Amino acid sequence: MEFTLQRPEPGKWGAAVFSLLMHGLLVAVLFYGVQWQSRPPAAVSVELVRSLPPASMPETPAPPVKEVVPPKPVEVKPVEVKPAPVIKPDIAIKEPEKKKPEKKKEEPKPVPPVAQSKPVTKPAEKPPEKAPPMSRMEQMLANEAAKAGAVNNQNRLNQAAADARAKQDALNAAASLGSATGDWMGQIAQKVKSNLMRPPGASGNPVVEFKVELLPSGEIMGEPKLNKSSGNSSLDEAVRRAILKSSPLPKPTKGEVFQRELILKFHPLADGE
Amino acid sequence: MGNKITEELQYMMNFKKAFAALLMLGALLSAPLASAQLTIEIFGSGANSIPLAAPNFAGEALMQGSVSEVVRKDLALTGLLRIVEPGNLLGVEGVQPDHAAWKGRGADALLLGSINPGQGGLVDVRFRLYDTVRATELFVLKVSVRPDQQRALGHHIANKVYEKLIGQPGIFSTRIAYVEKQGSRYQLLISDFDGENAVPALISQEPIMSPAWSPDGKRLAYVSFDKKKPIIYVRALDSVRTTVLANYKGSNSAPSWSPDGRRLAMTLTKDGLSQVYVANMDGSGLRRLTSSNGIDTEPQWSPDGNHIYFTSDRGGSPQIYRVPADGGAVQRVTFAGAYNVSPRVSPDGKTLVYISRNDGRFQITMQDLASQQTQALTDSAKDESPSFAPDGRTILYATEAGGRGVLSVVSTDGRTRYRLNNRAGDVREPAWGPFEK
Repeated sequence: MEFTLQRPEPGKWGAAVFSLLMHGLLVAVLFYGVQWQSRPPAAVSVELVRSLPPASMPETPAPPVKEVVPPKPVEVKPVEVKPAPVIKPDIAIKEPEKKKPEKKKEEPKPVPPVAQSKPVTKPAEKPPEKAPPMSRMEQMLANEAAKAGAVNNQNRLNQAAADARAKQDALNAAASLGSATGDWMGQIAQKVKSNLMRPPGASGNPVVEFKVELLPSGEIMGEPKLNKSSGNSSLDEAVRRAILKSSPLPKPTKGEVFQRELILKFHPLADGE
Repeated sequence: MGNKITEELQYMMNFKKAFAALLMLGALLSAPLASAQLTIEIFGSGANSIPLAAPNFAGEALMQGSVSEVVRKDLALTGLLRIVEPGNLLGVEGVQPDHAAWKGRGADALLLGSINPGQGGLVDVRFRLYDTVRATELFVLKVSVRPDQQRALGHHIANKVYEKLIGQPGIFSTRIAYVEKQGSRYQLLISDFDGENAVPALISQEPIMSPAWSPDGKRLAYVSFDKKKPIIYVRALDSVRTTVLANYKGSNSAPSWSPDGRRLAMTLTKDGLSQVYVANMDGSGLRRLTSSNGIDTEPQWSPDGNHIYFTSDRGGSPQIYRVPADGGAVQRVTFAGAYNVSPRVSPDGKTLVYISRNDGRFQITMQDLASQQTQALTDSAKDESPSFAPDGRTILYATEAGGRGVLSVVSTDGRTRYRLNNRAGDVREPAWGPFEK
């Protein structure tokens, strides 16, 4: 008992050295680990490469398609063509805000000259009485409106500035990457974006994230995996469609840059202009 | 001896530690490598439409008109689908198509159909939709119709395709109502959503105004001057039964159904100036909703049934206000501009559309109800009577071209704009019906 408490410790120095060695090793490991991790987040915004030509088309079409959707059974319907049951959208559908309507000129349709169709003189009311020249009330209202407009503009400016900053950050990040990787990412982004159609009814600033696995040819293997849903199934589906339509993705100019797995993070409603 | 054992034990423990440290080292080194996935950020979207090939159905001659033509026109009108010509590609319903070839032709989706003689003078129609990108069949459906139902069938198929590819219900089977004046004759017409196939619901030598669909699509309320003064009637569309909703002293006008179809809001002058009233569907239980010194008119129920929007000049200029449907404090809604009338709330209750005077031109204007941001949707000069399609994406309105009233459609995202039919008369007061139940 006493011996066990006060026994000589022959391996003491060896152990100490070993321990020091191990600690040193650990520090080194941590050091290199941190080095590894301090690699800037790989992110690039599609604007970088907007002017790039579309990615080269594949020599080999026919992507391998594994998914088999069991065809729906033939639905036998009664004689009358019934309207489709209303499909409930998965989310509340908001009207898209902000975009400008296309400034297309209403094409002056060659209307056959129709004689004598005077506008219907509307009986009874409907308020359109002739508006008097700007009354004081109207001026006040106009001022009010102008102010509201100014506030909106300010908000938009702030938003634009924030966006610009975010884009600059992304740009910096991309610049610090090997340019081959940056180019490759830009080409992929460009191609997928060109195939993405924003479905009607989507609003806000949703983010959708898919993970795809690539063959060395750039072809997408199997189905893209939904990492993060936007909460709007139509939008998710539109993004999935765009990814699949973009297969094969462009190949990097330098083979060593190639990655088998890619995360595609979409901001479909963000201004990509 | 005990000594030796502990010693060995000690070495063994050191060895174990070292081994563990090595494991840790491995883990640390490999972790960053494993997670070195590229994340590619993609902002915005670049495609405007989905390309669809929809070649003629086999056996179309069995019907009185081309079904596929109706489908193509319907889908193209949305601006969200683009029709791809088949070229020399052949698609046969029931035979697996050459997906790669169709994809190469530029079609992301392919619709194939066949028509065969059926029983009792009917024809059997089968149609399939394919996703050429994924090389999969999306659906196959079959219906039996009369040979003269090519339009109804075409709309039905267009709905199915649109729902599958766009993810929202199609409006191709909905109907619209409008008033046509030809000479001294007024007709209340009901047609397909594209203005074709118009059938008169009422013909009169006196003006007809303000048709309003009941939420179930089975009745129309309207104003007629049959008795030399404006009276509100309700007509059941499956019969010729017409009932008087409001025939009070003075003018009775601008009916609007509550979303549950049980009540109607309207404008009456029975107590002096035009004011908004609410009554039950049979005209009973009349109640005054607004009391102002100005003109209050054009009531419109919000889709949630809670509010009634209306136009009033109580503030000096015509603006849009709203009042709780059961009465209460009136709230002003529009502030931009000196002239805003004819409010319509989108089916989701988030957007208001109205006619706004901009530099002397009367244009369709859209206002986000939450942010109050407004935006003109048209660049014409004499727009009136906006009406939301039940999908909330498209707006039907009357405007003027060549000195007469015509109907136009504009989508809230500005992607779609088209003119309806070329009827010879002066066309006004359109109202888009609900989804068919």
